[in-house]
Amino acid sequence: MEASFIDSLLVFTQPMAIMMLMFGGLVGTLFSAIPGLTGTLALALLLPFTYAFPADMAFILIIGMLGGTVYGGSLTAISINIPGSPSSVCTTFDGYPMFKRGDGDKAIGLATFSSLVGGMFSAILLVIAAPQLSQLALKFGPPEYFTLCLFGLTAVVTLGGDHVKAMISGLFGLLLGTMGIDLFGTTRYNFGSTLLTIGVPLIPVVVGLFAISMVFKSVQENDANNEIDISAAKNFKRLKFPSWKEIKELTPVYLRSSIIGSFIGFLPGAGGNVAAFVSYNVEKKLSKNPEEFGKGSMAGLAASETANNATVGGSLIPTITLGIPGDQFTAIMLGAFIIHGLPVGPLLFRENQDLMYIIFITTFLTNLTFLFYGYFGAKHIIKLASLRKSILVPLIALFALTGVYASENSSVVIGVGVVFGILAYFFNRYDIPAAPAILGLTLCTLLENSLVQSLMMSSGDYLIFFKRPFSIFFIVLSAIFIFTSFVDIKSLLTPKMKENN
Amino acid sequence: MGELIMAILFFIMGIVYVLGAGKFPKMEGMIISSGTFPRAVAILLLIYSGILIIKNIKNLKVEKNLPKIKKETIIAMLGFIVFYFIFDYVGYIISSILLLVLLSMLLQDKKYKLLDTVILPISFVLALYFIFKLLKVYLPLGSLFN
Repeated sequence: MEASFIDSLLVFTQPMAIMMLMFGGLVGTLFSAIPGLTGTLALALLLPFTYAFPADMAFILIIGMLGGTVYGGSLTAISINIPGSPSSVCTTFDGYPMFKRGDGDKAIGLATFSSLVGGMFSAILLVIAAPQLSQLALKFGPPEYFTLCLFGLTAVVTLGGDHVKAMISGLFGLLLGTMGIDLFGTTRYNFGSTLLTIGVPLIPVVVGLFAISMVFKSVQENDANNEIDISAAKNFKRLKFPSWKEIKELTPVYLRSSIIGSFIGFLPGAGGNVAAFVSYNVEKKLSKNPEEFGKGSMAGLAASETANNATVGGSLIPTITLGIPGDQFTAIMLGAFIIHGLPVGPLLFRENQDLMYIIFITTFLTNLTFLFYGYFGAKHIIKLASLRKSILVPLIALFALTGVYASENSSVVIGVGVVFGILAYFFNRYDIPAAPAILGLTLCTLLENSLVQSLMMSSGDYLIFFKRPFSIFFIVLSAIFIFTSFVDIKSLLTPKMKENN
Repeated sequence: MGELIMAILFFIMGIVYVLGAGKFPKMEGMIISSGTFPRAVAILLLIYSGILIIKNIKNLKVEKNLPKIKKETIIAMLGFIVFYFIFDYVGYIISSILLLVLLSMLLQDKKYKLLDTVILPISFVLALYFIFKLLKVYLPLGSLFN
């Protein structure tokens, strides 16, 4: 095991690995900082290109991106009061007032340092908790895999506000996943297409759902006269890290926010924005000076930025050990495992020790990359927020389409990408979340195969799922989530009841 | 109304999958076959899309303040569809430049900037084409020119 860790560590002596790490960090930070772009979009755009690299390099790029995708948003949140990403909304509350009163260098320095603390804390937690959880998963057989996938899917349904719509999206993804040749050798639902005989191609679906749809959304919401004004941020030169005294004072905030962030990241469905809000409110309640919150409180800013970056390691724990993603980014990451021929679910961790060590190490290093970009480039990154949409959006379209074409060297997949892009625009318009669909598509094979294998084990007895402790545990968890989605049926009765009253 | 149409489309998808599941061969002596899993998922989709349909019919009179789909958005979608159909004929460079010029124009307010509308789209496409060529990925030049 130790030899394997040292081998993984040695990978980082290769210039290619450092290039991937730095490039990932840059892309993640930029996409997070520029309003309208997101880390999820960055991953969807880069996914086809990662296909060209060996798995270790691809995941150094992807995980390298992850820290920046949460950090970058804080730069624009603080300097121009526009959160570059949803996880930085809370950062505007105290970051912008600090910037306005002339403490911009201090505010961005504090946000950068806090992000580093949160990120490092959750990386340590990942290294400790993931192998333990994986040990537990060693005891799993097909019935546990099936019920675990079921739980993962039902849990991610909470990603969307409307459970019925999120469930529809997940089921839609599962049905897409049934296309192609199955375990029995039957070709299903290919509708006469040769391409679909091997199943729905994952890359064009991901790029369509998360990148091409973003182009349509940008055109729909575009206001050519409303360009982002960054003139207020012109005086900012370089960030200033907090002093030792300030760090000492903020230590309890760092500790609490790191724990809250990591835990919320671990939960399926809740991401950086939820972590930041919860942590911010906790600190406000515990503070001796709650009236300072919202007016430039250092504790408020530190709580938000520590907690959102602490979700990074937290969300990776269930993703790599169980195949249950913590958020949209990790849901697409599951797709990246499949593209590289790796299994999703508990087998991933068990059979790919070297890669898991690389993921661990990169989770630490990703924090250093955004520290580098924040220290040397914050001023320039903020300037990019004013980049015109008429330049940015066509560029995204170009990358999306080129990536889709290059993934299969075929123009047919462009059609698949375009169809899913248009479909996702309407998903977005009617608040149907796309993440459950991707999860359904990626987990479908494991879900169906483990169902078949379980029933073979039990000679067709469905009660096998209720005879094993972990299986029962996952069923109970799933039932809780399904129940909450059925509660929504109550809303069907509400208008009628109101009329009757 | 749009949401109702989406829900109906999902419902139809459910029906297609349930009917399709019946056509797969049954496995001798097996309780489960190729159709079992998709049928179960499709039935769930029928139930959930059914709920969404009922919800929408009940709330049909309640106006949702969704902004209308802009003409520009539909043109952008058509642009992508045309891109797909002309890609094999005119190749990567021409189809991409045309799409990028179109998107750039849709995102500007009639006073088109030369940089955004012409210079950058052409530069981006050519740059990416040659970067891919360096990486030994040859993007097609189109059957018209072969």
